[in-house]
Amino acid sequence: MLSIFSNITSSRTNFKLPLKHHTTLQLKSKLLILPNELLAEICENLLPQDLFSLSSVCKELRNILWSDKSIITQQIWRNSRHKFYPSLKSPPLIGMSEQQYLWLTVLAKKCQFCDESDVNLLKKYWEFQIICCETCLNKRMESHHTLLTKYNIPEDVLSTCLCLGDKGYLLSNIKTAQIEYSKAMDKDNWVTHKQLEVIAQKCRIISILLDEFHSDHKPMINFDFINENGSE
Amino acid sequence: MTGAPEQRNVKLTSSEGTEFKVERDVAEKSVLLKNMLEDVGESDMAIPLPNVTGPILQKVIEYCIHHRDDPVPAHDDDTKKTDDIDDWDAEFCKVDQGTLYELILASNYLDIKPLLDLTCKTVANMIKGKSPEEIRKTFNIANDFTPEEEEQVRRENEWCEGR
Repeated sequence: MLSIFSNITSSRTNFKLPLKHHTTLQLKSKLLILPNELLAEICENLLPQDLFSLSSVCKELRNILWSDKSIITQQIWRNSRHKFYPSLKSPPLIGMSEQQYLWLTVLAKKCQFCDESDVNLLKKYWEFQIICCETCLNKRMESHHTLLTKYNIPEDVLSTCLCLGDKGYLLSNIKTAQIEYSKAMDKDNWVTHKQLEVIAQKCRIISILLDEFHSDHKPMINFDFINENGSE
Repeated sequence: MTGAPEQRNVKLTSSEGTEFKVERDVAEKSVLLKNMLEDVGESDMAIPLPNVTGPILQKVIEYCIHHRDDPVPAHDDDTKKTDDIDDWDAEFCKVDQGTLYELILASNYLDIKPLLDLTCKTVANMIKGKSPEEIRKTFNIANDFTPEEEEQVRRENEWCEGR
């Protein structure tokens, strides 16, 4: 996931001074004067829904609450998951941020591609890390056979991607793998490494599916607003 | 280390030099002061608290007096599970936002965990269930996203991007 906010500053120690891009201190909300670790303290009490809202408020909060790399950011989301969705014990998939994980497990309510919101038509595909309707899924998938024969994708590359049983692979995954494969210096090594990752990823999927099986992912504390405007 | 129950007063000085006298068990609600008093022992010297203003220190002392007989919180996270704030604490937190943030900073500096939890919970309650626009209004935060960035945020939130 590329982000326009990828330059993350992990801490603001000199919180008493106005940040460079603010001309006067008065313009800055006092909430943002708090150092990150105290903002994290406040966030400990917030549902994932609230964290999504808070992270959409302004650039600074976006930087603090959206980084995939920042330990403090990921810890904030993880705390929220543990506190409000204790049944969701498994860690996120490899390469998946806590916020994406929470989105897929508890918050997403419509197809990622066409906005279809009929629950009966929606399905989560952990293999591809998406939630969508079948029509949109089929548009984005290709069978093993077609990929091999029509697109001439090497079997090696296919073996490094997760597939949905006989139905096939997600095209965007194949595209990414193909690019990485072509760039890899030691192709055998790359393939082996990726194959092991596929196995590890499958284990994590099983673990998440078991968590989901044992719970219906209702938050511990039930506030009425959750379904109203929990997310924007 | 006589273990005698006599209460000695402790003197504290706020950032502007105002002196406050509190009983030792009240001061010891602050882990910072507790450790200091243990290190220094009995002394008539006032402890300077350059990071805390008089009005805030007054509030902090008010909190510590009210909670002086509370059991010392355990070191596990179980205490955090109680989300309800009792009436006295709720009334205590009915202050302007600036004061609330200063209380957060002071309780963090003085290491008074229950007060830190209380004030952070109070701010969290002001965020809960609100849309981004409502949060901006509540906290007087300007929306500094350009329309393009705002669209990007919306898409990132829904993970449509790049798929």
